[in-house]
Amino acid sequence: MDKVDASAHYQGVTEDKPSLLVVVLDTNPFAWQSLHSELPLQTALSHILLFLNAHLSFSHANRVAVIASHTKSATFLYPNSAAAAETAETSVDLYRDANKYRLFASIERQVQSSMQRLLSSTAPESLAGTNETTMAGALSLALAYINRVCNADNLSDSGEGSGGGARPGEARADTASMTARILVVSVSGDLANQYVSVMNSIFAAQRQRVPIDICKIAGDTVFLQQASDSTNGIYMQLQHPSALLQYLLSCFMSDPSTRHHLIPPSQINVDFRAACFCHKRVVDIGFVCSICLSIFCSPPPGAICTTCNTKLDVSALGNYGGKPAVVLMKKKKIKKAKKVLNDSAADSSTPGTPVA
Amino acid sequence: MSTVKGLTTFKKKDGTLQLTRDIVTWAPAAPPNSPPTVTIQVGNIENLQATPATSVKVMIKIFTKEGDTSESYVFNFTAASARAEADAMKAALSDAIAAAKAGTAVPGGPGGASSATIAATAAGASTTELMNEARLAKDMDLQMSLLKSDAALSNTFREAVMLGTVTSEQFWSTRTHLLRAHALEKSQARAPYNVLSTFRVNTIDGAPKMSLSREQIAEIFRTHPLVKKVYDENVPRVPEDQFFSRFFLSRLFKTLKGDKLSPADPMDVVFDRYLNREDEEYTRKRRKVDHVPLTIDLEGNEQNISKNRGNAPDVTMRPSRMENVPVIRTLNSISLQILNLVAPTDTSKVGEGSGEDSRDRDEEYIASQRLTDLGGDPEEERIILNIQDQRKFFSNEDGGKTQNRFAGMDAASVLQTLRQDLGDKPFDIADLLPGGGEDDEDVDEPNPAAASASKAGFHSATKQVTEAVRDRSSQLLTLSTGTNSALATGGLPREVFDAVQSVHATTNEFLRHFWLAFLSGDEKRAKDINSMVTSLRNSKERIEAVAKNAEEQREELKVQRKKDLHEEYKKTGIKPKKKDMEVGGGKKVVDEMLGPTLVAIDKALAKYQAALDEAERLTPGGGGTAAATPVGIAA
Repeated sequence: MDKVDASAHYQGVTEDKPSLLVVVLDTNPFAWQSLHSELPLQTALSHILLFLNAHLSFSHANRVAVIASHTKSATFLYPNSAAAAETAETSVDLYRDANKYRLFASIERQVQSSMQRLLSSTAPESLAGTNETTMAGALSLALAYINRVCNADNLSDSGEGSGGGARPGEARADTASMTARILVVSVSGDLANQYVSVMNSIFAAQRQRVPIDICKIAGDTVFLQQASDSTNGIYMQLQHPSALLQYLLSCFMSDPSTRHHLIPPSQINVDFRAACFCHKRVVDIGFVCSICLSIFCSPPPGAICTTCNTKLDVSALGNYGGKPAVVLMKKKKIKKAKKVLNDSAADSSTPGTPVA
Repeated sequence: MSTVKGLTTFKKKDGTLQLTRDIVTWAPAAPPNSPPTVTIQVGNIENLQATPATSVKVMIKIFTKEGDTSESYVFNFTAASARAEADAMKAALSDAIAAAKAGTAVPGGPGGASSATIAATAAGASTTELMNEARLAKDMDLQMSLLKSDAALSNTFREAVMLGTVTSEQFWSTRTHLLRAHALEKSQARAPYNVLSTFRVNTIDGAPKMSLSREQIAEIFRTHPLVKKVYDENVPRVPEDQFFSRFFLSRLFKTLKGDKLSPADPMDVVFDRYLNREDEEYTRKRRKVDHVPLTIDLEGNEQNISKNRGNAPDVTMRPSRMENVPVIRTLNSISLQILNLVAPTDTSKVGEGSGEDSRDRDEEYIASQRLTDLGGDPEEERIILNIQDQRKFFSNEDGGKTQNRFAGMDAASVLQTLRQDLGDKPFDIADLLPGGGEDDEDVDEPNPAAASASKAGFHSATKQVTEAVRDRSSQLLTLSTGTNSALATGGLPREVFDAVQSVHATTNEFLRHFWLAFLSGDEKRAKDINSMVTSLRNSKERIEAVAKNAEEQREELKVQRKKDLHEEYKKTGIKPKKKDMEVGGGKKVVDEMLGPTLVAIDKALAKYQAALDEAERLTPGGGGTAAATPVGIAA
């Protein structure tokens, strides 16, 4: 009421918003090692850097950030204050290079040096038994950074302080000074262990209207597909990883405001399955706690929800999901049969089970 | 309430059945003036049955329920006028039962207290009645009317129930929500509305035309009794169609509708006579309001701040018949009338307007006007979630299967190679980009083979992207164009497409019941499973038949198209383009459309087969299982 919102009348203003691109790079060493013959990490990094340069070339005000989703941690590769200090110390002459735009050079240096530092600081022991990387952490970092750049800056810029960040969710995207998107370059597989946190990040992104694009070089995850689908991002499974740059430039170049006018190259078949909270399995049919909506692959032991400790009434389920009774049999025999079946199911791998 | 009597036999004894207030009594006739041997509270009556009017015997059967015990009584009417007596008794009984259920049981009656409690339970039942699943499942009329209103559902019903093996109960058991919604929808009556304002005059060929249905006329008469009066008094003289055409042009119509009159409006001898008569009609119909809450009682204003002196109130606030504000007055009276026609929802409170009660209602009224957001925040009633540390469960299954992808890789050596790859010095990205190192001879020059490989990769990548875009755009196009275009049906002829839709819906129905029965683990449903499996097998055949039919149709169309094009070529001399020769549809499209359905059927059948084999192995009849059973018990 105290402020006339005039921005809506100037279409041009909204269309020309600068864009922030946050690249989340999956740095699972095993995965990159197995990709080595097709796409060495170094080459991939150079492709991504060139892509960042292309993004920056669109507008002065465009910004980028690179986050590494490593095996045990998620860190910023750019902007990275430690790397910045280092590059400033060691290579002052870098900025004298007349053949390169200074910003490009500085980003390249920082990303490379922080990447090198990240790898050299990784202890081999810490890699044991890791199949996936901290994607949830990286996404959270990205969202926090986006929020800071898009909204916190907006607040201080506009000065009035009445609009902008103070308003809840939906309105924020309109008043933000920048549009933002996240590009996940993923090489490792399943994220089932981080299901809850990944889904939370997805919902946060959805609310902030931040599309999450997925560039899937290797591996297969259900949840990243859902991420791109629910945030209106683009999902692309690369058939030819060596041509990463071509994919990046042709699929992921357009910023959110341009995308309204384009047909996305997204693949449409989305796997909407969820992972159960108890064993982190991806389930077709599951059981949902009526209080906290936790998902279970089988009714939890003692009918108590493991997340919220609610006593659940499983009697309504009856024998649901139990052994299908296909043929009419006398009751006694079914009981016996079930017992055998359960025993054999429990240790089907061990040799010498009676049924086998 | 008067007493209703009837001569009846009960348990083969003569006697008198009598209904006084809300008690039914039966006294034997044998010893005169003997006390009644049967006494029934009307509130306890559950059901009432009477022999039809055509039957010779005249009997009334009363079912009662008190607590958990149910009983029934049969009274046989014996008097000469048995039928009349029975009818009177039946009517009186039903009235008494209805009164007892509505909660306004005859006051002062000996069973007042008990009937009140019964009324309360009865009222509770009526609200939950719609929600009762068993009741919905039995309500054939409701189901029929739902099927009538939903063509797709009715189609599925026909295919699955009437022609298939799904029973009606099964079919509805998964659709209770639909039935419930439909029951609610049906139970709602349309409220009266300003019917006159809904008429629009369409001008066809310069002449104003208007269509009027019987219902609309009835509605007009209901909301505007004045029109009915005019109609009654004039119609035999004036032909009906002429009556209405004149009515819609008349000043009366404009006034009733709430339009402003202008001097240019045509005069009408018939209708203008009634122009000023509306008021008396309205006042006659007006509902008596016995109590106005003091907070909104305008009479109070008059006493409190009299407007008799000083400035007169605004023109709209004056209770006069000023002719210059007819629009406001008409609109007001129309709203008033519509409100009068609405059945009041707060009947329970009206009618008991004793002094104390009305004060309560005043307070209630004030409470409802209070601005709640000015008060403090109410205490929030939230469900407490005891969220436990999630990490506890994370480690549960870890390590078991996770290592499959990167098994056998040595962490140290992997890290070593990566570090080497990356080097420790900044590298120039230009060297590593495709074609980047061309003019730099000293960098490890990609050999021609590698260059061509990268080129191929580049092209196939572009191809993948453009294909994805093309796929997507065709899908978007399908979405934006309606269902009738050839694109939406995949080039299939309409009837083939309908067949595809129908077979899909039915198969889904079968699948749904199959899984419900299969997963229920209830051995009683084994029969259901078997019948569903048969249906699923049939579904497969039906899909094949549809595909075959589509292919035949396509061939026919192809021949037809070829002929057409050839004739056109003969006529115009323009060679037909190859694109025009193509005909869409056929088996391929059907298979594509129903592919997922086929997969689902196969999966269901495979699961069934597996379970069947398992079960057969475990039955005593199968070989080797005789030994298995005792071992199983021992284990």
